[in-house]
Amino acid sequence: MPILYGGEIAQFLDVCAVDEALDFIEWLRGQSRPKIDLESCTHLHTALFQLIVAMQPEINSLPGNPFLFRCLSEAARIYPPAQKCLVSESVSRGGDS
Amino acid sequence: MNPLLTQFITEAGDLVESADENLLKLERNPHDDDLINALFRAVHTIKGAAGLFDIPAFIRLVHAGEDLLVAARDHRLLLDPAVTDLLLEAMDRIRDWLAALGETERLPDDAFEIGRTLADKLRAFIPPENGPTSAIASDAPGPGSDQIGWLIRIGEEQLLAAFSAAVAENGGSLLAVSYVPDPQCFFNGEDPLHLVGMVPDILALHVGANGDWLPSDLIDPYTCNLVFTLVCRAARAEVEHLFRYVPDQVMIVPLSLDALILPRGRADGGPVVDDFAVTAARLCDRNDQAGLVQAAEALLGLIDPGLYTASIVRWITAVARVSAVAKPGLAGVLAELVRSLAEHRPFDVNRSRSGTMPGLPPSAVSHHHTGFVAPTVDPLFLRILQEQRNILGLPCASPELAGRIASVGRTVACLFASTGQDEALAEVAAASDSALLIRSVQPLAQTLDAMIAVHTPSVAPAAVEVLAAAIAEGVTREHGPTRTLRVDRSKIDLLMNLIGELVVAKNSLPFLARRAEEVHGSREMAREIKDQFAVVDRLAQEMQNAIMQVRMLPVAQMFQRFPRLVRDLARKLGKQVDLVLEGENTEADKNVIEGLGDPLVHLIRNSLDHGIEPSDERIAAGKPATGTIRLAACQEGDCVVIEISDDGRGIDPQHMKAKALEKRMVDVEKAATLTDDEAVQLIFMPGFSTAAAITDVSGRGVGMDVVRTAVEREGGRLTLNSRCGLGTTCRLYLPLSMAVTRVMMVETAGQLFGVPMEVIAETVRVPFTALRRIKAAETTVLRGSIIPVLRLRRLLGLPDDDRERDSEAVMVVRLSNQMVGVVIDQFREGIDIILKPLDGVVGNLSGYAGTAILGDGRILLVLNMREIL
Amino acid sequence: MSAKTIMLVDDSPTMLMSLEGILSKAGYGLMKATSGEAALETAKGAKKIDMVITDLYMGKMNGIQLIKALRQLQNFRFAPILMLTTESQQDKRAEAKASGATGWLVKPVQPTDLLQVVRQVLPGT
Repeated sequence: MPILYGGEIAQFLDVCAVDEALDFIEWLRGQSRPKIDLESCTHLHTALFQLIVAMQPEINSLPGNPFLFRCLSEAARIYPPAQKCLVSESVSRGGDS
Repeated sequence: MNPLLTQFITEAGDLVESADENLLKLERNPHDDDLINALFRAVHTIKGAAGLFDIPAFIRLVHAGEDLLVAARDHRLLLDPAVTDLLLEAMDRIRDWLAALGETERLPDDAFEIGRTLADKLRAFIPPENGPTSAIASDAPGPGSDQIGWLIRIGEEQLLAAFSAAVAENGGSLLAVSYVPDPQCFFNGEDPLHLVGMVPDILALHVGANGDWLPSDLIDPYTCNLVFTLVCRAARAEVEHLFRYVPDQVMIVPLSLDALILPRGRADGGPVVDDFAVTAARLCDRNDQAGLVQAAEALLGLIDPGLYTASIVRWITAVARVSAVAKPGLAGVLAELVRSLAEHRPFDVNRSRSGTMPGLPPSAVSHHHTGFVAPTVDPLFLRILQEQRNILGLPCASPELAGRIASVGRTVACLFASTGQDEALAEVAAASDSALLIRSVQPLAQTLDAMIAVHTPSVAPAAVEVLAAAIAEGVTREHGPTRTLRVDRSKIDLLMNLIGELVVAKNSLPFLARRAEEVHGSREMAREIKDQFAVVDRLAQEMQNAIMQVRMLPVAQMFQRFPRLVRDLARKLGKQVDLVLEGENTEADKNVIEGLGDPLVHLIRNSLDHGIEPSDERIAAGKPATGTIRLAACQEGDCVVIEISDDGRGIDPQHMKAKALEKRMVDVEKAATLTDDEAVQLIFMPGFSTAAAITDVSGRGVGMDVVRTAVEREGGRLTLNSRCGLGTTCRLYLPLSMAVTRVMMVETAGQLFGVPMEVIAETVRVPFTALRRIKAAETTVLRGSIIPVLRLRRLLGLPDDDRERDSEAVMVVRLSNQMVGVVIDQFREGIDIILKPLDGVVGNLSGYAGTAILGDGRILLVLNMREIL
Repeated sequence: MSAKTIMLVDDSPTMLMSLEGILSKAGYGLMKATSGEAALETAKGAKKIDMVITDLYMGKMNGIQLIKALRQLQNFRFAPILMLTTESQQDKRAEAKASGATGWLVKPVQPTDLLQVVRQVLPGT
């Protein structure tokens, strides 16, 4: 059971695969203030990662894996709800190829 | 031996056989794509597996064969007889080498030379390919590969850190990577985040949305909507290798250090900045980096960090710090940073490059564009455009409308800016403005539609349908797999021997029953033993049948060598011959099949050599120029029948008679009475050979008598019919199985003998009155025909029977179409035995087929009726 | 964590034996099939196959057809699937990708390459 849902907090365990994405988004949609705990997560599939980035649940603890840690802290820094205006600004100056 | 090598030898052996077979079929149907594909696949698989071993000569040869077949498959080369000869030769060589690998685990010493010669010959047939087919994509400069505008997606803080890190740890080349995964990539089993995580030594990283995120209720969790941008320090080849499965979704660009310098922020400056610019220029000239850093840091405390100038100053700090250490090449960059500040213009890295900067030609990082250039259609570009257009089409509450229009407008503007399409850029900006003005997505949407239309290559919808149909077909064609097991034949042989022993052992039970009754007087025990015997007997029979089934092989295994044989012989003899195979799925015991091979080779050679006429002769006779040899197998009762027929000239009975007379095999009187059929049968007489000239095909001395003897030694029969001018048919009859022989036990002069069931036509009691004596020979009439009657006692040199009786027990034996009655003393039961050939001193006694051990331990002599009679 | 299971599909028993040798030593669970049809049958019945490695040229159903068919199965929508190709089959790689393959391996497969690629496409191992 790679994601344990307990009330408004979801705990990610070990390898969290793409198959979890549907349940996860359903859960996110049903929560007013979702929180996630990634401490025990060793692998996070892109599909789950992007849901975290897009829907910005509160991250209680980051994973130990340095790369995941980096990506999530980066995403959390860019996408905290309070600084949403910064998002469009960074896009406006960034180029897409 | 290494089990992998053993496996390879077995598998490659099978594949060579099938390749051989397909080559021959192809020669007849050179345009059969299925055959070419099957052939290619066989050779391809051999090559693949051979790659696992250190056998370069082998691989080289197979590789050449494969390339040749690719050319054939692509219809660039027709497999004519000359090419086929060469391929067959290659197959022969591979077969030899496999045998050598099996014996010594290495190729023969001459393999390298032979392999090279043969491979060169094969390659000589391969026509050059049309146009380049294997251009390495990564070496060709792809569209937009000189663009790194997207690098600005990475935040300045990260780029500053990357810059410092890159300078501090001097080593490794810098690469910028932009990776926009396909939205459907999850359905290809991809995990882009994981892939990016494997990039070594990432100095800066940005993961963001490709466009904006959709509202939460519209997000499709299975659509990937991310863009990865990173700077790493790694070998380009290594990173390209990592992303080799998604080359169309990634851009990997070598980066010079100064390309990281991407100042950003709002315009505007002010007097403070101007003052600093003057001071900084002076410090620069003096090469006072420390002073410059100090001044810059002081300024940063005074100005708004969101300004473009603030960004420039931050870069001045960073560059000055490191150029103070050890980077004289960066002096130009520093000077340009300061100049851009003084001149109130954007920083331009190209102006700083005076040739001292190591790294790339300016074009590699050029940001300059000249007007609107119709770009090569980049799928990525198009997808982003389409994505943005889709976002506009989504329902949207009016308060969010302005934000959405602005966001789409900005994204598309960035897109065109990055590809240098300034005109399009202006157009989008205008459309975006008017959309905001009238609070409707309409103007922007229309503009985007037009742009998408311009950039979309036409796609034939038919192609999509064909693809869908192909998929559907592929799915409906599925069928259950055949599960087969490859077993060492020696294991099956052992099993067969064991079951044979079991069959024999169970035969002791009737003896035991008789002893129970006769010696111990227990009739009840005897009956119980007999009951048990019935059960064991049935099980043993079933088991035996089951194992027999395992040993049954389709005759195709034996047949498959004949197409090659016929082809080679026909080419040698200059005749045109088709070989037709029928009933290849007929199954027979493997021993039977193996024993049959040599006689069949002789019969087919005979047909080719003596039967089939040269083409001109055939045409003159009103026959098709190409002769036909038919090899057919079928099962008749408990026999396998193999028929070899040709439509050749047949056997001339008059010629046979003349020949027999000449060789003094028959006298004139007898010759006159011979029917045509009887005359033809003369061919089986020892020493009779009809070929006018001995050829190297049929050879000397292998007459039909020898073939017949060989067949009979295997327990079979051989018949021959021929019609002069029309052709000859030989029929070989063989028992389905030879492992366990069923014999009838007969008692004669107090001894038991076994007679193989297959020669016994029937058993009868003949009254003395029905026995006729003509001279010394006895005969009787059986169902209207006269058969000779012989006495087994006399045949075996045993004393005559002096018992009182009014009839004789006669066993009617069939020998080569002739019936012979044999008088014996008494018939006993039939029994299954394992026949053991006689060996040692008695091995030369021709009257006995062998011995078997009976259930009660006695030895049964099995008679060879042909020899005795 | 339970070992990952990889299904190998190749009509060459030698190839299967070689891949099996490398992967089983590295601790992967293995299933084998010698035809596309058999692989599909196994895939429909099996509870858990984490990854598939298939040859391209096989009897009736080739590797590309197998990949397409596997992608239709619920359990294989997201599974990594690699196709075995040779140096000369570059054109087939794009076709395989378009049919749902994650990537490819080039025969003869070197043990280090194989394990590296498996680790790349099969996370959590």
